[in-house]
Amino acid sequence: MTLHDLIAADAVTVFTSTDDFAEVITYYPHRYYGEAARDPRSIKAVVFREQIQVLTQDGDTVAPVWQIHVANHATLGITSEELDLGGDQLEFPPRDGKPAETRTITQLIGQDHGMLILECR
Amino acid sequence: MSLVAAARPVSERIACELFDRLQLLAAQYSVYTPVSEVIRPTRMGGYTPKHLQVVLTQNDPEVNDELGCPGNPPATAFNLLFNIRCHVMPSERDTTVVDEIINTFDADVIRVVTDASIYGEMWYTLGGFAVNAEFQTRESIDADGSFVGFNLPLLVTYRTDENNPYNVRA
Repeated sequence: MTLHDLIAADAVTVFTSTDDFAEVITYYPHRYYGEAARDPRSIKAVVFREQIQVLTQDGDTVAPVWQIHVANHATLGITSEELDLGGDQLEFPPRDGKPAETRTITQLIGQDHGMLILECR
Repeated sequence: MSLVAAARPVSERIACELFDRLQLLAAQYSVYTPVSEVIRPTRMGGYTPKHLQVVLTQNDPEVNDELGCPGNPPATAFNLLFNIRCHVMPSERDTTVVDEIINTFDADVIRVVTDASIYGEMWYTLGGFAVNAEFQTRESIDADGSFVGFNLPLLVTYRTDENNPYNVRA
């Protein structure tokens, strides 16, 4: 098995293991006009919660930000090819123990063959 | 008669009037800009960014000494800057030029706030609560690259009793 393969395998079995730090959240792919519907699916992710950012144009208005680590995977995560930063959303509890809410994926912070690091607001 | 003649201070009634006008964009006011929703954020935001979404916020009011009036009680004038944040986050598969979306969105926001056929020629009084209102220079929102759009500031000047911010003064 090559290092390339190991990175991809570890992303699913190690880095997004729900026995450790990951949890199951829901991915809602954006449907663009005329495209076939893509169903939402459950994926595994590590969620770094509510890092507050101030929106400077808004004076004191704050915007909670979540950083989500998912496998670059077609079923257990999200592939970098299918990701659409113009409407894809994730549903997860905004704070541990609270009911899940839907948040828009606003930025692809980092990517490699194994993992995607996403920003949600 | 109660000193507080209305349920909300003048600044809040202006904000509500502006919010109501912007909400027309989410009710098929323009076929070019089908706004998804208009938001006034809560303390923690309370919304998630979407394509063609409008977020209305405001800066702190500043006293406008020149437009204050003597009297009993005297009237205090304020400048209040509203930020009309317009989010433009089209699908990555949308081939429309993003500047075209922004230019159209910008024009429709100005049109819905100033529409003489709805509000008359004195749109700038925002329902009779303001002395003046004027749009400022459009600002891009793309600092951190996470989502784009623009902010369209609207500077509103209004007057109240010095001792009663609920009462509009002409």
